[in-house]
Amino acid sequence: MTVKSMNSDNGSNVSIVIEGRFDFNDHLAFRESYQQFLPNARYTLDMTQAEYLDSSALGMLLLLREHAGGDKAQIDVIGARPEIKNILAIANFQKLFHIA
Amino acid sequence: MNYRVIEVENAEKAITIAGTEHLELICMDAIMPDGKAYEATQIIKKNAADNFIAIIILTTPNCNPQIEQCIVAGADDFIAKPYDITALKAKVHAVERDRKLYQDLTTLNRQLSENDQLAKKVFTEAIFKKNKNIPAIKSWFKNNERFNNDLLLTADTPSNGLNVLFGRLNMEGTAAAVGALTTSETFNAMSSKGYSSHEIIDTLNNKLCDLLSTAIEFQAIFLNFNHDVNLLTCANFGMPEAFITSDATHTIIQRIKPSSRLLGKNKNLESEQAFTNFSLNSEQRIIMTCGKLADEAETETIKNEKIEQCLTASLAEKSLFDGLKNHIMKRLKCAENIRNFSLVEIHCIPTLTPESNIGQTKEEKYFHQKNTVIELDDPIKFDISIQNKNLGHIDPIPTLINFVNTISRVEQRHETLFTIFTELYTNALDHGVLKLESDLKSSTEGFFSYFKEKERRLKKLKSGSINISLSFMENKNINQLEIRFTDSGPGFDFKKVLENSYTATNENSGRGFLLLRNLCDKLEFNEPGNSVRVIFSWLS
Repeated sequence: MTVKSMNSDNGSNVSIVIEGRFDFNDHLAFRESYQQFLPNARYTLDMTQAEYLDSSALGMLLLLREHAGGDKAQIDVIGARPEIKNILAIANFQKLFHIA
Repeated sequence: MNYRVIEVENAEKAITIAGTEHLELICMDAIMPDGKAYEATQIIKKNAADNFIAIIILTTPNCNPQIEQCIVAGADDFIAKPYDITALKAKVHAVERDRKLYQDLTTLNRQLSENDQLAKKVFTEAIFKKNKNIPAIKSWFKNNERFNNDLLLTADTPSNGLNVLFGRLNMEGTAAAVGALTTSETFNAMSSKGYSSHEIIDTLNNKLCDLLSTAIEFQAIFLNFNHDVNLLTCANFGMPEAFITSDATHTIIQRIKPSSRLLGKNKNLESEQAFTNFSLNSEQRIIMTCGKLADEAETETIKNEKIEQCLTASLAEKSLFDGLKNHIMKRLKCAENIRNFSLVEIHCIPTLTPESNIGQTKEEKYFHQKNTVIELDDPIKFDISIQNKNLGHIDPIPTLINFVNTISRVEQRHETLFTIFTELYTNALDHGVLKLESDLKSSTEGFFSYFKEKERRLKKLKSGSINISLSFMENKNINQLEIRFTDSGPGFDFKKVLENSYTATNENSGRGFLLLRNLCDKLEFNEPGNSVRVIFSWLS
């Protein structure tokens, strides 16, 4: 998979794009994608191109949430495919992320 | 003309004879000796009920008021004296044609009524009975004369959520029964397989379009409640606005407005766009109605307002449902012509959704099974074994997916199958072969050191094995895949881990099992825990 991140408004809006297969192999790339940005930024996770997701990926999403301020985190997950949405729902992630 | 003729001298006797003889045609003078031609016409027609007795009134000039009376009372025609035989014959032929039409109509009506009975039976016996009794859902279906073609369906989802479909099939008799059965079966089957709300709606829409090729009208609201009943995913396809109310503030707090998309019109509905999410708590209720409190001529806004007025008036009542029902009943009394009206209230309390598996017996809990598992007669098998240092650089998952792809169309469930394979493989590799402890992942740093450690151990791995066997079978339209993973490790306390997976949501571990349990139809471990078998099935 590839992870790309970009920011606008001096880092207050961070967009992370995930492509292909999202699993444990990506843990470093994924961490790098957000670590440089401040916790109070608004994060958008673009999963339009994400094909697969496993439980390690779910763990990584939680780490991003922790980085972004835990319960105060503002993270939008956009473009997830139905099957991926289903996986996010099974893990009860709709409570923790804004899944559009 | 081939009639047997009975003569009587007055109208009284005509009434008596009509009750005892099987009469087809009466020719009666407008002015009978007892002066009761009008009464006789009325009574004979009434008593005849579904039988057609034609009455031709014989008249003399200057008895127009009597003729008029008799025609109003039900006489079919009249003929003036003196009779012209051709004219009389023509009149008789005309009433015979009427009789034929009347009989055809009676037959059709009876068939229609039988169809209605059938539809009613299908609705009550085949569809509503399948709904589980959920005390948190209250409903009221009012119907006049014929059957109420409103549907309320409920079905559990594999992740212990609940799907609800409330709608109206604007069809009659058999068509309604066929539409309702299709809807119910599709809804139940897809809900139990864990398809998402919009996939269920899209499939349903396509099936209805195929099945009932003429444009049909199917209005519906689809609701999906997650296990904890704190998230609602819903869409409204042409139904009246639905409301989410709060018991705490006695107010309407949200509205589920009808989207512009309608069901049964054409394929490619792309219903996903119509779905929205609402967060819920146990003080909230969802109020849905179907039917109108006003006549057709009024605009949609006014119709909604009337329901809303009833609702607003009931918000502070002890029982919102009973209060609302009473208000609606009062309104309906003023609108006798309204055929059907339905009301549904869903109280968003945790008992709305199925009990989680925590309360189950041990056996059910550890050998989790959701659906009936079909027997494998003649499966296609595929085995691979990955050993020693190959484990460090071979990723078998694409191969496994390819295998399934070559023997069956799995596109729709592709992502899910990938997740299942990945979870099973990660489990076998991490815990079985590499003997990593999940506890390590309990903190952020731990999470990363876990993966660091995993990479380190993989690099120096010398011995170990993972054996994977797949068995595929297709039966009718059900595809079933049995997957076994056996690793060379010492096994693990799967009971404890599975137990944790019922509660883990924020923890950094245990989610793999949560996913497997929800995505597969069956999940079981063999002692000592180094071998796992899952069943995954999907519809083709």
